[in-house]
Amino acid sequence: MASPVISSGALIILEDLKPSSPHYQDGASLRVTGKLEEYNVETAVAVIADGNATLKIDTQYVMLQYRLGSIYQFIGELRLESDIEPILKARVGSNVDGIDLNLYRQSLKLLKEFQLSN
Amino acid sequence: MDFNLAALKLMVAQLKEAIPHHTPPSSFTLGSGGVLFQRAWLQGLLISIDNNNDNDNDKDNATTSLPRFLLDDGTGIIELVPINNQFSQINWQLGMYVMVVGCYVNRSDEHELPFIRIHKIVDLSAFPDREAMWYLEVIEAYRMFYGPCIEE
Repeated sequence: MASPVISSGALIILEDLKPSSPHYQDGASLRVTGKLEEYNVETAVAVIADGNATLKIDTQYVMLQYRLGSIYQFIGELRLESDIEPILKARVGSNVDGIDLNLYRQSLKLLKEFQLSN
Repeated sequence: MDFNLAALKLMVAQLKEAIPHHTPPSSFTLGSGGVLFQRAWLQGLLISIDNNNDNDNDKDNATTSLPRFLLDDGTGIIELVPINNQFSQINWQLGMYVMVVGCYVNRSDEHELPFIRIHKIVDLSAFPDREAMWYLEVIEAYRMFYGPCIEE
């Protein structure tokens, strides 16, 4: 059926998405989680936050009810262009209200350590 | 499918490293000398749903077209093929976080994704902490059971 033209969304914490990160590349497929802080209905651009980090999300292809303060998870490709803030073009997303973000962050950290050691 | 062999809790990245084994047929081992398995338990997000599947290649499938899914668990993407049409009635949605159990099939054509012939799929979207717990479960299972087998 499918040939692997899409990549798996790498699990990432927003605070780790810095220019020094190997995931900080144009076209990188990522899975990000954060609280919705802003949403522009006209452009369908959302801003999610986790801790001190934020990320813009292009949600035009992800039909959800967007509520400020709710927590969302998205998989998509990172778009980096000079002079413009990084934005994730989301393909898939969901509302994950109720998630314990501290637990989630810790779990991802342990997973990363596990993957490196095996 | 040999249901006596336990379904291993794995990430897609681990499945792709599994080594084909001959007995029982269609089995694999995790690492040489490692745990023998046919079935795997995975959890991840549904990133693609194909309800109108005209699969001409699946000649032994006498039932009407079954939904097919792509699952992304953060370490890889795998195709899910239901074993029968018991799951067709449920309204599957993109972005659902699901757990699946089924037989791992590694297609010989390297351009095709491997797939799982699933006999169980459960929507866990209402319990978002299951994702964090899942990564910990996979690590624990490997550390306690699967890893030690390989090192022997």
